[in-house]
Amino acid sequence: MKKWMLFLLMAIGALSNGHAQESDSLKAEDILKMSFNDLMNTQIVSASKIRQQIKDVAATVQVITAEQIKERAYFTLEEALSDLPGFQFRNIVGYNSYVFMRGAPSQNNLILLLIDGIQINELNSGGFYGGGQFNLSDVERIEVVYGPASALYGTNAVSGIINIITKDPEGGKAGHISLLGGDYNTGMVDFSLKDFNEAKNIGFSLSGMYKSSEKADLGGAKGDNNWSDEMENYENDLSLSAKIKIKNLTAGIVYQDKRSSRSTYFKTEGSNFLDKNTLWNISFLNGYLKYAKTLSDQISLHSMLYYRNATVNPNSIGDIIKATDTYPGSQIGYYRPNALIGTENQINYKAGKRWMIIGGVIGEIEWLSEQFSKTSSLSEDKEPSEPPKPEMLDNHLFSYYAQAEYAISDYLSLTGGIRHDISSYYGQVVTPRTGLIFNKNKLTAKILYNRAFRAPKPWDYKYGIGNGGLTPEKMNSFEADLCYSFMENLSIGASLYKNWIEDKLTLEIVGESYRIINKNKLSTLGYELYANYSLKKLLLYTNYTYSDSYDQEDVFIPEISMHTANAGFTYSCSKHIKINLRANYLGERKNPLTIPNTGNKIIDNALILNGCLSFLNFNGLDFQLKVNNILNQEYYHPSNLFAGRYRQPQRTFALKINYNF
Amino acid sequence: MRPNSLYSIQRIIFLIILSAGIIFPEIASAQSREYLLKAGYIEKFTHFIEWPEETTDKDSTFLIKVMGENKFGATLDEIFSKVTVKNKKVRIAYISTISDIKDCMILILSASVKSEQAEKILNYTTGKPILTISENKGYGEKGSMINMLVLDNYIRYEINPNALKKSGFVASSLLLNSATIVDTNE
Repeated sequence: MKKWMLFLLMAIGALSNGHAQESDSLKAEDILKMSFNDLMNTQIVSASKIRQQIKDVAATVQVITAEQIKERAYFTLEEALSDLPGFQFRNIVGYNSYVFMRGAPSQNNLILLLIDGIQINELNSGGFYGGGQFNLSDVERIEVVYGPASALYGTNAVSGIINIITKDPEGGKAGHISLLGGDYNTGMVDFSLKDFNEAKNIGFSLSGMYKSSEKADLGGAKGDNNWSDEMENYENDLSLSAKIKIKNLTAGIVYQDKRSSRSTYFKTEGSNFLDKNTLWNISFLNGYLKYAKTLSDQISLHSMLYYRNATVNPNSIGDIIKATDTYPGSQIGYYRPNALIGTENQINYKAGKRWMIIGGVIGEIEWLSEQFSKTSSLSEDKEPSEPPKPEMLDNHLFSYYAQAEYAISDYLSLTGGIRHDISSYYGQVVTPRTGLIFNKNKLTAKILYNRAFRAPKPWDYKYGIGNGGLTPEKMNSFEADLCYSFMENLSIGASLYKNWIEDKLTLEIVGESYRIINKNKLSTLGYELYANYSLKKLLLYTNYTYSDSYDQEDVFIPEISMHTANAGFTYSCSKHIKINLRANYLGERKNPLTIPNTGNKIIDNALILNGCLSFLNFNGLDFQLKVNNILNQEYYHPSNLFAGRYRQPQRTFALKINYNF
Repeated sequence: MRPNSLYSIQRIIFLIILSAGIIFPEIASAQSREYLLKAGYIEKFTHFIEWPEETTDKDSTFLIKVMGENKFGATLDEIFSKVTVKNKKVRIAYISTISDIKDCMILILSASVKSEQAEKILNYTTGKPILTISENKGYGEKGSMINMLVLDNYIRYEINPNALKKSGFVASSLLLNSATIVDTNE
């Protein structure tokens, strides 16, 4: 192994001494084949792992643009995803929120969430945190890649990838500050500032956000009698990010601090748990240094060093047990630090007119808590002492991947790729992918095979009573995609897929306790249909998703609805006024356990309307009125935590004022 | 729990050294890609803009002129040699004085055109059936009909509808929908 690595080192060293040239693989012919929308979506220098247009990527991709985020006034990441095909949710209206993609429920550990190409999934569990800690006003676009992508990204890229791409410093001096206020003590302030010197090719950007919300009224009967009338339910999020660009070198930092109550984690009515005074404080820190270099028409290099930290801070009070006549009660303190340092180097090589080869090596060292360190105060009213640092695990990962694209003809290309992960923790995993892509005029067709895996993490090994014998769960996937642009203003598409997950990491109830085991299969046959249309001042979209997910005994998977659909429009009344209205239909689905209030497991279907009225660009000022759940529908999400269901927020109003300078 | 020990710390150190080896050498620019994309935008603009009828009828070629330093290299010639605009062959000319502007259908103000000179040029083209396209911040407000800017690594553009209207141009709503709308500073 060392010999070939030395060879690679020498080869890269030699390449580094070559002269930089201003060149790129994009040609005039490619530009002329692009539609106007393609051009709008083409970066000068791509921030993605592989520089490609969406139609050439061996996957289905949907994009949420900065314009859409603004005109729809999205407040959380889940809100932004809810208008796309293929997504369902378990929103526990609390310290986390769970996103299911393509019919597979999880603790957010089947989806890889990236910010500027760096993972922000929590290190100990592998699942990302949903909620309000993402500063969406700093987002240039969100790229959603459907289907497995472990052949490039490794573990957790099973159902898909969500890549949040933040705004770059380019474009000169600019900034904004905005204020938002709304129901349920919701407030937000955010700002951005950036400057760029084009002559020197140097710039910076800074952004920050503080957000606070109690989200909904869940006390007593309004919350399905899960919690008391006096329940406390808050979330306070702080987000800061900075980016410096010096020519092709970029250094960045993303910091998120999320503090929320844990009330909704338990059903407190009729249980020993108290639904106030808890605090779950988790913080994420990503830092990176990236460098891209084009050596010639054929070869480009991308290098990245990164540091990640995801820590449940020691001030967290995860649960409070009520005092009784015989027990003084207790507040339980939690602490779980985790950190990782890694490097990735990628080479793109274009060989002649027909071959594009991408190769990369990744090395990571991570320091993970073996499990939570906990302390108990032995009093309902007294805070616990700070937990000591837990036992730490020292894991190493080495991965390498290669992908080759061969243009069989002007219209047809074949992609094949493989990644080999060697972990000191979960062993070796090989994940291949292949795809056949047809692009002619306005038609794009893709046939894809992908494999993916989710490695067990300390959280899985130690959850509940623990299980040391876990192995990675694996997924095989076949997919066919079709997209056709009738005119510049009408495009339709369809994706049909079949996924098989084996050796699922499944929660098993063992008497009064629980643990994770490798058991069960999950198969999904699904399809997504979508259309986008623009007519003068009107932009329309609609999509429908069918998900038939079942286990090894042909039993339909709980928490997944077979039918979901979304539709919406934005109408520009004038250059200053825009109206946006969106509808989300959630079909009926089953709860894992019987719901005490109804005596059955059915979560009813629901049609939810959301909207936003925007007054834009009045001397730099924007005013927006946002209404979620306009019809004030009473609707629910499933619970995998306790026998019950989660009431979703009632109608909420929010007013936002933004000043651009 | 630890089924494999194939990986060792030495390999990680190797990778870090390998990374450091390529992270600090000389830096390339993406200028050629930027101008290739800008040339692509200009070609697309011609599909979504209607010229006043009498102007497109009178000449046999569609003349595009570039004022100032030519940062496009050969990309404009390359792209427009493969297409026609309004059923006419396209000719590209590179000019340096206001007196050279006449007869063109599109005038591109290169990034090197200074603010004061741009104002004089835009005063000259106001009301004439010449589509003005610039690429400097603030030039949309000066009266340039389309102003292309690099924003967050993408090419974006401003449109000045009043400037278009004064010269008799009609822009498609598709073009307007994706633009930042600006008005001339009075």
